[in-house]
Amino acid sequence: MASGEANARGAGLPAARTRPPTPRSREILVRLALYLSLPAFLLLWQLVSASGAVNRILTPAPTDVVTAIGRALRDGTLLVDVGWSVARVIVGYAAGAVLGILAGLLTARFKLVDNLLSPTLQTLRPIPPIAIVPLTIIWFGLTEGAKYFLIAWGVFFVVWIATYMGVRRISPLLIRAAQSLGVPEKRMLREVIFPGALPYIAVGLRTSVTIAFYSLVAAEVAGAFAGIAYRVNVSHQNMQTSLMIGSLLVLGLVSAAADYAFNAVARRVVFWH
Amino acid sequence: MQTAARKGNVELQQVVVEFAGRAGSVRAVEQLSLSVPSGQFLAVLGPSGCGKSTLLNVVAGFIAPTQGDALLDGHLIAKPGAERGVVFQQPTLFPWKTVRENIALGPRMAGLRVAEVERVTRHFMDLVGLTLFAEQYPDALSGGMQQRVGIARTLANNPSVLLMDEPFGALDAQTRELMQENLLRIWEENRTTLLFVTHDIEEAVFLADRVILMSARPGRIIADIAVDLRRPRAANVIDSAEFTRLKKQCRELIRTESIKAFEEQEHAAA
Repeated sequence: MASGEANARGAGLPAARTRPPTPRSREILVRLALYLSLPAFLLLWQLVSASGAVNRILTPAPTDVVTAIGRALRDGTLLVDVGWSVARVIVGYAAGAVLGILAGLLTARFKLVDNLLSPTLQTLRPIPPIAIVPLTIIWFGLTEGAKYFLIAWGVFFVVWIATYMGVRRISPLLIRAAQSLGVPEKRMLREVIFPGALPYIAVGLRTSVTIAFYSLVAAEVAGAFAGIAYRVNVSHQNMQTSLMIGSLLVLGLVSAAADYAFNAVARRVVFWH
Repeated sequence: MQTAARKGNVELQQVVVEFAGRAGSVRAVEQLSLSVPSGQFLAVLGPSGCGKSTLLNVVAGFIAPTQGDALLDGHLIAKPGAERGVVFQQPTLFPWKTVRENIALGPRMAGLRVAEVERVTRHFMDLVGLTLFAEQYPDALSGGMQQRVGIARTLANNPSVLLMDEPFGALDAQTRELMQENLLRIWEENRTTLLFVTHDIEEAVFLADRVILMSARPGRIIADIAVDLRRPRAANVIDSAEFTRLKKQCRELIRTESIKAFEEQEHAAA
């Protein structure tokens, strides 16, 4: 978003030129605002919490949050929680992504498979993962399988649609070129269809990293014995607000790290786009 | 190369191609018969929309004729195949493959051994002068260089017929001239049957042994002109009296045809 806005501003250069030049001091202030944003927010939060105007148990100060996280880090619970959550996301995501890519390639390539699967999948697609939590508990109990299923559910549909669109948007000329270069039908998938759809598949895979974490929250809140979202829920019940806020921040951090890592890999794999 | 020289006889028998349009079917090619002997450089010349690309697509196996048959060396053409190499107007390279990988695709699919694929690929990269760009991706190349990769990629399959659909149409005038001379140099070495679609009269006469002129839609052959200019053909052949005469002949035939087509449209409209 931020870079998009910056680009939009850059594109409007001629308009900017007609404005009077910004004084140097103003430029420094604008730059400084960027670095002040987070410290100022934390400082304000600290002051409000410490002033006694609010209940410090319900609205702990940043220092309280840091202390709570530090304690969780020392006694090992934080690491265990992160471990469980990351494992769930990895297994569920991988299953959903592989099935989504397979379904996408098959439905986009073969009309029979498309007619056979797409109406059913399109009917199931709009159901949010959180809504099927009760059903997964009935089917799988409070097992890890239930968590994998929920995360895979969220990931599958996004990746399926992205792959389908990617295959459909491959230029027919590229397929003709491959045919007349002697690429047989059974190798078309590997040589042309899959790499041709890869830019779209990558977008689907990236979008579903975030969706995997949404689904994780639904899965862990519904019944788990460890995990970051589980910790948020339990600390709520115990009125450990500092730990709750700390866990939320950890969840955001892990999710952001996953997105960043994925993007770094995708940029290397889909280098031509 | 020797065996390939005797192959590559293209035969079209009473070919009709119709496309489903919004108001019924549109006839793109009308009862077209054509015989192209092995090793001939044939230019297909005509106004845009005359069905000359359609004709090429039939030989490539991309389109099945509505009526009639298309044959290569006596065999019915039913689908695309590596023995009919196609060079498109746009280079149509695989953006995720390097120059080397794009050229190696055909030999690889033909089941050649790794060392042989490597040798053939290097030979054709060298032939079009792209050895230094072997590990570049198409994005990094100019339009002319991309089209050279497209040509090398097709030649690497050692096809018995080359099909080129306005391959230099998207290039600037200078690049275009160089590419024409390059193509002549390469073709004069191995003399593969070549069907070359263009709307440029000068290009057709400069390159080809024979020029067929097609009418406006539905496409028919309205003239079949032999070009007996000496080979190897030098760039200055365009200054010769014979070249000028052939060009004039083509231009007048096309002009007559265009006027006729225009009047027919006026009639239809009235």
